[in-house]
Amino acid sequence: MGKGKTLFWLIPALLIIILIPPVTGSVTTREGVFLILMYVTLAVSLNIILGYTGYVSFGHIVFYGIGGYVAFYLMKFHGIHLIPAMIMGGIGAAIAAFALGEAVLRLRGAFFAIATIGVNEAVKALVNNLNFIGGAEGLFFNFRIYNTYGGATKAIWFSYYTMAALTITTVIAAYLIKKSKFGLGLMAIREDEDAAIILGVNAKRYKSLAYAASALFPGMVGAVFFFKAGNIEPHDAFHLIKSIEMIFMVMLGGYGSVTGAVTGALVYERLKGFLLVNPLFKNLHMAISGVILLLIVLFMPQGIVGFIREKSKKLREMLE
Amino acid sequence: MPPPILELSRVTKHFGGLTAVNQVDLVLYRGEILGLIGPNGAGKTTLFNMIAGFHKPSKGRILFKGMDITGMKPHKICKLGIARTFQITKPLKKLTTLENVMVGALPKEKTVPGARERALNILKLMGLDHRASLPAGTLTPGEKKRLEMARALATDPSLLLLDEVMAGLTPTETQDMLELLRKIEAQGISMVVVEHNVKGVIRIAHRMVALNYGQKIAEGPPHEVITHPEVIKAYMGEEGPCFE
Repeated sequence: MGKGKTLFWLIPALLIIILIPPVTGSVTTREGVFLILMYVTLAVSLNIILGYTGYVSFGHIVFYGIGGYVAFYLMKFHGIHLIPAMIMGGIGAAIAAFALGEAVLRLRGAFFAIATIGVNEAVKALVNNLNFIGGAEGLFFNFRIYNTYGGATKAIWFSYYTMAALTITTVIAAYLIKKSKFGLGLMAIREDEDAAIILGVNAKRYKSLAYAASALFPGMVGAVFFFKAGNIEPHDAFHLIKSIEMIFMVMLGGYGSVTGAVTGALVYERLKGFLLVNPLFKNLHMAISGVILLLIVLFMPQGIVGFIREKSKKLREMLE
Repeated sequence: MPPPILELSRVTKHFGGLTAVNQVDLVLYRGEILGLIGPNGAGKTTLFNMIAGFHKPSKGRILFKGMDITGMKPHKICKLGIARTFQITKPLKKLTTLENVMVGALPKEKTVPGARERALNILKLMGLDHRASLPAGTLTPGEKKRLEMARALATDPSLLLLDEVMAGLTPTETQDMLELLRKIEAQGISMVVVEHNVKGVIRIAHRMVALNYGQKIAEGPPHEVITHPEVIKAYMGEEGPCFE
């Protein structure tokens, strides 16, 4: 167990990526990097429950949607600033996860995965029918809201920096969790839940807390994303495909490793970008991603970073 | 006689229509090693599972140091000072040997470095320190048995429940295991030892209990128990030893 060796290079590397758009002033690059940061945060968060604890949360996007709705509602109807609204959104998602966790985390393996899909679809159906938050049509911002931030252009830059700060925070938090007592308990649950319990790990509580932690940051991501978009609707907020993308990123990079989740997010963003602009593949990108996921699970279940960690003892501490 | 550490009174477990453990009374005194024997399906592991909190007894009560622990959650029972090993070892395969033992040390140690320190000492005692940084999945079966013991000891127990720790070991490894058990005994830890390896267990147990079909059929000093007619019948069948 290295002492923070991973963060010493990972955080500067992320900062360099974050600084590219403001330095070049390119709006296109900013949009690309915003997407990367969003993916990184989602993948690193999902990794806490999927990679550390070994529970495949298939409908994880539900927390992004919940956080998005909570924050959007507060900003639109109560004029609350993005930052507190985002924090409230994150906390809302985390509380929802904790409560759900007490129920669905009793299930193991595929049953848990299916239950989480059900939760996502149920919440989507519920939101579709709640008129005070716009029902199926969703909610729109009045553009005056952006005046608080100095106009729409500045508001978008503001959301960019907020996302950047959120990403860095998430990566550091995920790393600290992994290195803590709590993280070791989670990994023990992943390896053998019965053995973990007999060794004194309060598995039920640990799992619920891990689920809450892995929902907190996606909730905040949802808040920032929908603030920037200016509208939110159930179909966007609880889009199951995004859930699958998150799992893909974690598995591609290497589950259980912070560096792995970050790598998976970066590679996926590039891959998706390539496939979407290529006329030959643009309608097939999910199919191709699916085939790649299958190949990873069959031949390299530890993912890219996990593979390198296995091969090189020297790099292991750098790639936690 | 020292005070009892574990008391079972009329403990019963039904699984559907099957009575796995039937009205078993059992007392273990402080510092004692109790050998628990019986043929397959006698209810030994079920009894362990109830003491450790994995199964809730259908009837009866379990007292640990005078406190009622019947139906308590396993992680709470662990914190009170009961540790167990599994017959089929359950190593946390992808974690290192050291991390495996650290998991056991964590509930008692406040910090990660404290747990690491404690785990390293236990690995030395168990002769596993040279394997500390290897993934536990790569250990040999004998080493995995010792890892189970190491993890159990890391929880700082006053009662250790050992489920078939000698099964599948070579004679040399069995010898090592017996020495290890004596070291643990010297630390004042009480033990219940479930064993198929009767030869091994009579060398270490102070007292023995034999189970068959979920019922206690004999209790007493080791040599008395293994020569008890009921015990011989349970192992050999109604007709007595067929090779006579």
